[in-house]
Amino acid sequence: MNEPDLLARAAAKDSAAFGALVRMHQSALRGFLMRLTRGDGALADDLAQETFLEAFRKIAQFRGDGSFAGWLYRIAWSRFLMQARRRREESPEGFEEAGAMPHPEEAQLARLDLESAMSKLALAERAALTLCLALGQSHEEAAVTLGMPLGTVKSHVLRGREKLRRLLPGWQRERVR
Amino acid sequence: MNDELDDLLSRPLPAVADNGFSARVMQRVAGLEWLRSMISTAALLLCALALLLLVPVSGIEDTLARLAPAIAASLPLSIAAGAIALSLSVEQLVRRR
Repeated sequence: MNEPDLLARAAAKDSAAFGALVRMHQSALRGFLMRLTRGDGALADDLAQETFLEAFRKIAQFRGDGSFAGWLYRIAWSRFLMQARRRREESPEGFEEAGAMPHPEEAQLARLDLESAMSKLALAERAALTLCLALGQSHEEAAVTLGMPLGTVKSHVLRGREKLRRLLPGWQRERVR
Repeated sequence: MNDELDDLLSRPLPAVADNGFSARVMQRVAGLEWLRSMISTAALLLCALALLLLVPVSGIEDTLARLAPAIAASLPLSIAAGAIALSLSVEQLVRRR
């Protein structure tokens, strides 16, 4: 059964159809949340569960004007922001942004792999880069998902890329060796 | 480096094994559904109870008793009932064929 059929059945509260949608999208959604949580698998899974539950509750509101995956990412993003706000309230230093330009020494110390370099980026840069490049969303779709103006998303992608280039100076050399 | 970096960034995210995740989500969905049906049933029961307590049942009985002969003697209602019975019979016949 294809996705539109599954969505129609899930909207009629067919839980088997919704289960098929969960299995279809769990990997990408959890991967996206892993990026946002800087690799905190337990937190990413909790947020992914909450995302799917909210999607089940609101599935009749899904109009199909964008992709279902995009709609899931939007829910996940807002869940993540709520969680981040709660964490910040509990401990002010618990969920600090890594928004500043990386220091050259820090760049040297950074492990030469993408995930650790990604974790050095600001939250919005991580999210924008992941949506636009790894998850194949257009800038426009990512702007809707993140609830940001298009220009802001584009600048997050550019700035994120720039920081990664600084953080991964040895990556190309490492691959050639 | 630019192209290499773009290639690296454009690679799909590593696949995350399900490891029972979907089953756990569906378990919570089932719990949610159960809770919703319980709330609906409880609300329905409460409404029925309120209706029984607040609406004068004897008054309804009297009204029905007064209206029953008029309904039975009504020509338009008899025609409507006949039309319904006829269409149901025709439908049955068409289905059998």
